[in-house]
Amino acid sequence: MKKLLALAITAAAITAGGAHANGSPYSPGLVYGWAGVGAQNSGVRFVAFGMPKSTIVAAVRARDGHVMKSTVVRGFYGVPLVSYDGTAGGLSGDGKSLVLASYGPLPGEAGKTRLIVLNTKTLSVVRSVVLRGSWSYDAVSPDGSQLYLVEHIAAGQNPRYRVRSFDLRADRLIPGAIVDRIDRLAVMGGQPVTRATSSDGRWAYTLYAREKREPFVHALDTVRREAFCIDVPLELAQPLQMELRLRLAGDGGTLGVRHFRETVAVIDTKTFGVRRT
Amino acid sequence: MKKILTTLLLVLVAATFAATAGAQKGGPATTLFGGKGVLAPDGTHRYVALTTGRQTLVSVVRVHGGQVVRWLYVRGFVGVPVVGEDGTTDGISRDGRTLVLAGTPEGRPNDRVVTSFAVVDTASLRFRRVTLPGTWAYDAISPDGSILYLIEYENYGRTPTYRVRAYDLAARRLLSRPIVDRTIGERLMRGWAVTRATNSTGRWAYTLYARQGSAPFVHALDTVQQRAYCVDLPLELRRPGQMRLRLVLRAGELAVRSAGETVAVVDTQSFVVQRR
Repeated sequence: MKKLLALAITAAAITAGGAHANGSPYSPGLVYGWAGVGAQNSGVRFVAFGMPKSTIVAAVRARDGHVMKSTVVRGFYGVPLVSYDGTAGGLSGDGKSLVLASYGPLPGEAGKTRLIVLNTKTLSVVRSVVLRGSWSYDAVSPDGSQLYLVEHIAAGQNPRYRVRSFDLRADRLIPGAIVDRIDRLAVMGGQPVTRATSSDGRWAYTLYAREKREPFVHALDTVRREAFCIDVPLELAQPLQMELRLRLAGDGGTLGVRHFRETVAVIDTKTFGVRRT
Repeated sequence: MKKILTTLLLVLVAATFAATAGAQKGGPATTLFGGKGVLAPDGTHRYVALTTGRQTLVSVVRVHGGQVVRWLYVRGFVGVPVVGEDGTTDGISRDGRTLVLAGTPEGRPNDRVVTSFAVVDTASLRFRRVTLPGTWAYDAISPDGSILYLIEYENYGRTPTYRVRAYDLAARRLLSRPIVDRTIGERLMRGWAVTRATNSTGRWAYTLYARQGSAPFVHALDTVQQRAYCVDLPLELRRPGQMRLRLVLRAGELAVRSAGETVAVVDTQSFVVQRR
């Protein structure tokens, strides 16, 4: 049964992440090829391709499709997806660091999760991170010094995990989880549906769907290592919560929660007050 | 170990010299990895080859947006053919259905040199390999992708000599007769491919060649009728000057340009040349 459940979630992940996203039973997974990550401001997208024993990473110019640079990295890495709508992550706000991730073991099983950090100018690997257990990429600070990871404790329909930070300059995992400053919760549950990131890359707002509960937004300050969980008062079943999207507006001052074309709630990004619309 | 070193060398050569090394040495035309690849005839996508040395990844990149919408793996080292020292790439048939990637000539046991090509069906992204004994390079492909034109090198030393051959992709065989110049019947060609212009239907491939101690010439290849014409250009230019020439096609004529100035015009019907 557990296996079936894992398969079902994997299938959901593949569907949500796009044709080239490989599923994971506990995270949105990784993306190969396709849009990769980047391109909006920089005009360059970074794309990874899994080869039999290595990964090709390419920097593609968005305006004409030229491959400006490429490299081969030993191991099997992909661009991390941060939510089931296929939002990709891994690029720091300053555009200088690119984080690629591998698949780790299932939560509770033995094994390691590997991540690498590349310099986007040279595409050289500047840091390699190996962690025991089941981890996935969550965010990176604007200057690329802090990596935020999800440590998966349990997979399945009600996954449990916590957000941890890794100091890339000191090359060490920071003890303890990033605790929700509102409810003081360390362990989280729910499925990451969508992500919006502030223009400077500092704030990562992730909307999570939950079974039999309202959705919430996890607002992660990647500079101060702080997080705030904001419940969104919407009476929606989990499948409908999976259709929600986030849009930052008013120079990042408000975060709109949208259901298709309709804004159903607005969050003040300073006070985290929520208003239904 | 020898194999690994050879592979590494090939990767280094490709990465360092990309499009120019072979042409400068007068050797087989080279292949391109990364960069602009080759543009699909409809201009919406480009095919870009990337390599690990042992494997080649052929990516289909959307021109507007840069998304890599499809890709395939090809075992070995094959890249987008470069048909001129100026970096002109080719390899896609005008109907957009066939993509040819060229390998680098490689030694086999008993010093037997072979050259491989990967012929890709762009709809299914399935490919097949064409391997020929000897040193070969891609030259052109017919508009419907049925005939592949290859350069067979006899010698690629200081003054390379070669002939153009046709390979029937449907019949999977090399046609026995070389493509002979219809004007003077010369089989063996000499010179360095500088630049290429292809007409809008993809039928005619005009390649300008530079020569040491002789005037440059245009090799006009009719990829449908399997015939070619060598058109000497009456230009008193030394080889470095010839290497800077470029071709521009416009309404029935082929302009030969140097530093933005038209120095000669070739009538594409009669092949009569006029100096400017």
